[in-house]
Parts: sequence; C-alpha cells; structure tokens
Amino acid sequence: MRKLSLIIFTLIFLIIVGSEHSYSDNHTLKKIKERGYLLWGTDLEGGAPYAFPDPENQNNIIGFEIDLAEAIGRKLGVKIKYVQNAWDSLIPSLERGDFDVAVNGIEITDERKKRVLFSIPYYIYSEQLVVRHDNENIKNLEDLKNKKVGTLQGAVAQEILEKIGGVKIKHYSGVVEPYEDLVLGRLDAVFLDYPIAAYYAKPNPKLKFVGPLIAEGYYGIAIRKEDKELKKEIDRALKHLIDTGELKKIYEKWGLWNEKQEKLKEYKETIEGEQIVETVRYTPIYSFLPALIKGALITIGLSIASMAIAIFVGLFLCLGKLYGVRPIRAFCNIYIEFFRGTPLLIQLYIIYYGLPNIGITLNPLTAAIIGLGLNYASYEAELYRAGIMAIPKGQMEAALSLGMTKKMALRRIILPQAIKIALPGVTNDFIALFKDTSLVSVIAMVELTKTYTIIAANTLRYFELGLIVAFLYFGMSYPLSLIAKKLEEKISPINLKGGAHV
Amino acid sequence: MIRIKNLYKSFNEHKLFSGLSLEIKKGEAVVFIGPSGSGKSTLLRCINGLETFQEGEITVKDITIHGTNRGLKKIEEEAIRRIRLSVGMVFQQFNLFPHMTVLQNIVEAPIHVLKMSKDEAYDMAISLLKRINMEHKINSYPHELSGGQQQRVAIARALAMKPEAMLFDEPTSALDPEMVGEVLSVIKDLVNQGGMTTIIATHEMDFAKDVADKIFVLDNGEIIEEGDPEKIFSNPNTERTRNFLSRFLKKF
Repeated sequence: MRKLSLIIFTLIFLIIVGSEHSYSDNHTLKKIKERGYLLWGTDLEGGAPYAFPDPENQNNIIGFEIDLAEAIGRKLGVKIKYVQNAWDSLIPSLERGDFDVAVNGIEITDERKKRVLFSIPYYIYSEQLVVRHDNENIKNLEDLKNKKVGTLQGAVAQEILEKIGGVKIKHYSGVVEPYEDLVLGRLDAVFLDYPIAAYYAKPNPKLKFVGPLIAEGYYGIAIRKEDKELKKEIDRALKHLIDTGELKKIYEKWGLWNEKQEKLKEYKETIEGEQIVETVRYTPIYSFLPALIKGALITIGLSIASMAIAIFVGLFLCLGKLYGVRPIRAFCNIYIEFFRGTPLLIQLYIIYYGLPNIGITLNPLTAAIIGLGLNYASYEAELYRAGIMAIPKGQMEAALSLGMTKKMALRRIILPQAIKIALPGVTNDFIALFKDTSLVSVIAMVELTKTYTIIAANTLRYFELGLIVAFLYFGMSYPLSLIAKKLEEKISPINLKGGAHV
Repeated sequence: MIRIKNLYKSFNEHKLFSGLSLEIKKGEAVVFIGPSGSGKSTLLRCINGLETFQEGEITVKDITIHGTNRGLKKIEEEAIRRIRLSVGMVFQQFNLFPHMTVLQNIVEAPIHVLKMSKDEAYDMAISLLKRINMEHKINSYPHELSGGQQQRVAIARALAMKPEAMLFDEPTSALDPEMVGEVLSVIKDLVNQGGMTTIIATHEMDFAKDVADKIFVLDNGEIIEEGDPEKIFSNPNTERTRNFLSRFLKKF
C-alpha cells in the first residue's frame, strides 16, 4: 500500500510539474509568425457545416469555419494548419498546447471563460428543436418533460435542457448520431445549435423544426489564457472581416446569415464571467460523487449482464467448435475469429448504428450488453477450449467405459474439470470487460466514463475528477483481481491430476 | 462370451493386427503377455470400443461390432455402448475423476447411467469399498490416495456397474513396486471368488501364472502361443515365446 501511494504521488507531482512549463510565456504569437502557420484545432467528425471533409474529395476540408480560418490567416499573414480533435476535449487539448486556437462552434460561456480567452464572437447562434415529421405532441421546450432528447455533450443546449428539469437527456459526442437516432425512434427530439440543425435536419423529410429559435449566444475562437497578444491580433482580424462584410459573404454562402448577425458589430466584451466561474472552480469535489457513483453502478450492472451472456454463449461456441457437425464447427470458428480479430469499438458501432439499416433497432443498453457479451463470448470460448484440451484423454475414456454417452461424459466429467481450469482466465476477462465497458459511451450509454466526461466537459476539472474515476474503477476491479489470484492458487496442479502419483 | 474374428488394425502406415482371432469363454480368466508394443493393450481397447479397427468383427455376448465405417453410424455407437455396459475396464493410469470423492466416483455411473436409486448405489458402494478395504477413504479425493489405493477404487468403480466381464489394461504398470501386491490381490479375489470373466494385460509373470486359466502370448500383433500357464512358462512351444520369457525374466 505504501509503495502504491508513493507511485501515485510521484505521478501527480510529475503531471503538475509537467504542466508548469512551456506556454507560460507569451511567445505564441511570435512563434506562429516565425513558423508561418497557425495550428487550428477542430473536430471534423460530423462537423458539417462548421468544418468537415468535402464529400466530393475527402482530402479537402470545407465549412464556414474553414472559410473564416482562411480569411483570418490571410489577415495575419500565416497559413492555417488544421488539427483534428474530439469536440468535447477541444479545450483541454488547447490548454495542453496541441494547437494555438480551438474553433468548432464553441459557445462563449462563463465556465469556459475561466479556462481560456475568447476572441470577439464570430457568429450568433440559437438553439433549434427538431422532432419527427409526424410528431404533433412536442411544440416547444415545455413539452419535453419525460421525453428522450438528444444533444451534444457539453454544449449550451445541454445546459438549457437541464434547466427545464425532468427531460431524459441523451448525450452524444457527434452531431450526426442524434438525428439518426431521432429518425429511428430512439429519441423523441433533438435540441442543438441552429447551424447543425440547418445542415443535418432541414434536408431530411422525416424531420421537422418546431418552436422558435431559442436562446442566443456567441461562438468564439478559444485561445490559451496567457496568449493575450494572439487574442488581440485575432480580434483585429475578425473585426475587419465583420466591418467589411467579408464575414457576411461567408455566411450567405453557407445559408447561415440572418439579421441577428448584425449585432456582431455592436458586441461589447464583459468580464462578469470571471466571478461565476470561480464558484464552479471551488464547488467541492464531493458534490459530483453521487453522479459518479450512479455511473459506477451502471458500469457494474453492464459488466455483470454482458459477462453472463459471454459465459453462456462462449460455452456453446466452444462445444460447437470442438464437437459440432461440420457446418456448426465452421460457424463457431468464423464467429470466434471474427469477434477476436476486429475492434470492439467497430462491433459496437455496427450493432448500434449499423443494424437499424436492416431493420433491427436496439436501445443503447441492449446494444451495449449484446455488443460486449458477444465480443467476450469469443474469448470465453477459447478459454473453455483450452480447459477441455488440458483434461487428460483418460478421463473421457474412463467415462465412456462406464457406459456414459459422449454428451453425458462431457457434462458430468469433462466440463466440471475444464471450467475449474478456465476459471482464473474467466475472472481476468471479467476485469478486462469491466474496463472495456467504458467503450460503450460511444453509443449514448451513460456509464462511469461517460458521466466523467460529461461533468468534466462542463466544469473543465478533468484532473481531479479523472483521478476519482480512476480510483472508482480500481476499487471495483482490484477485489476481482484478488479473487482471480485466490482461484489460481486453489487450482494448483495437484488438484487437477486425478492419476497423480503420490 | 467374447469372440474376436479376423481382426485387422493399422495405425496410419504401421500394421498391427492382420487377421487376429480368439475366443474367451464365460467365467474364464485370460492373461495377455508379450513385449511392449505387441498389441496387448490395443486388443483390450478394441474390445470395448476405445480403438477403431479396419476389418473383422468383435462379438461380446450377442452384440457384434464391425470394422467398417465405425463411428459414423448411430447403431454402431449404440452397440459399443451396450458392450461397455457389460464389460468393465481398468486403466493403467487409473483415470479416477479428480473432482469427485471416492464415493462419488463409484456411484456416478450407476446413478446416472443405470438409473439406480441413490440409497441403493450408496449401499453397494460401501460394500464394494469394504471388499477392497477402503471404506475409511470413502470421502477422500483421488489426489489424497496412494496409487495402489486409487487403482483399487478404480476397480470398485468398474465393478459397481455389475459387468459380466472385466478388462484390466496393465493395472500395475504405473504403480510403485510396494503397491503392486495390494492391487493384484484384489484382482485375484475377483477371479477366484467371483468367477468373473476377466482379461488382463500385464507384465507380472508370477501373477499371470497364478491367476490365469489361459495365457495368450502376443508379439507384433500376432498370437504366437496360447494355452495352459504351467506349460507356457515351463515348456513353451515356440522359440519366440522362449526368447521373450527369458529376456523378460532376466530383467528382474
């Protein structure tokens, strides 16, 4: 235990010291000018109409923010280099120094202002509610109580939904998937920024806009807190684009212009954000615990249900592979090789987003349990097989010579011994599965990891919350490791060899 | 009771039996002797269907299995199972079930194959264990027993199925020398008092002479001599038998 805490403290120390250096000085602007390009962080995944790969030429990036970037680049006299980064971690990555600015419809909020600087706004957005075309029950935000509503994790739309209360919010990290799930009936409505809705939902005949444009906020270019010089330079460039009407031309080209944007000209910066942000910063960490523990409980339930499927299906796969008739044997072999040979993440995407194409629509929980269960079944099957192969041939012969059928011999003599051998491996797999449940956050399943990223994206307290979550995982998996170790000791070779000479 | 007719068997390229025949009468105690690799064990394993063979037939009581297409037909599989029900087998490596106690090892097949009631099976197991002086180990696990004790339990396990014949496949070869006696005496009791039809493959020559009604000498998959034990040990008919016996007896 002493060693463990020593390691952890060393790690924490290294992280803190490590983050201290580099960008504390104010040379970013100078550096950019010297190297001749600006690193522009954005998320291309489902990024239309902001920034996304050109459908006609995937190597080419287009979008209204790309036009904006190029215009700013021209003003600053530098080239723009784009850096791909997941949307919900754009700001932490910016702070870490992965790029110079983060731009991707990032709303200027008080929480974010505490961590980064924002340029003057480049777009005034509103939120748009979208439902299926035949839905007559949802007309405005008040109708969303007890309804499943999809939104982007960490976006302002999410906060608005939270304030209504009683809304079953489903968090996504991309913007394509919520509209897809809405079409499939997994959601009752989607609430997202207008530009997103305009691009993804408007052309879809199965969806319609309801209610007025809600709220009003600003997209800004996020810049590291210490880079005040860079902010000044970018503000100057933006101001020029707004005043000359160059920005208006870009928005008209993308169908995003409306009168609201006129207000960009009169924008006055406030500093009131600072105080509110300070309160978030000093919210005691334990106030997040109930949410995290709830996530942990879901993780546990998910693991147990998936493992039950894996253990059961794995047994049939193993028996089919070893004793089945030819076609069954072939099927089991292909199944095992396929599930072991492809990433779990891809399998989850296929099960959740792919199967609806052939008419099978699963809710996130079912898809997660089935996806994890079917994947791990292939590993369990191989563990059982190794266990069965380890049983001496004489065991089967002795059982047969006593008049048992092959089936009975398997069930009563071979399997009980094989499972004992496989048990430590199965326990280890359970620990692995336990951690792999974090992958199902990609299919809108809110378990421990997803709970963490949601809270952290809102509060930007990735570090302390991350440590707590890591400890929660550890606290749950360590006892399992101990059990696995105990099992391994218990099943020492002497207990296995029936015919051992004493 | 047991009749083997014109048996052909080969492992891949290697030919073992080419047209072997023999007959064993009810109540007879027969011993197979011969050098290692002569086919004693394989012959025993053919009788209860643990080995396949290419040609010929084996008849136990009124059940016959044939050499062709073995293992593919349900009927043949069922025939083999019926043979196994009337012929018990004891293995060189004992093959007790390590996850079961002595008692469970013995009652497993009577309860689940013969559908005997639990009470009846337990009573029978206890009387069998008394017969081999092992009732004090009734709740032990195989790994807690000596080799000799394990083999005696294996014999009791086979007897619990009330077979009409018993096959012993080198029952003492895996035992330390000091444990050989206790196992042989159990087999001897079985033959002398029970009148059980018995086939034993062994290297224990004194025991063979003592217990056998008839001895078969095998070499290279061939029966080179058969008959009365006294005569075979004192005055064998063939040079090969003489060679084998002198070579073998000299070793000890």
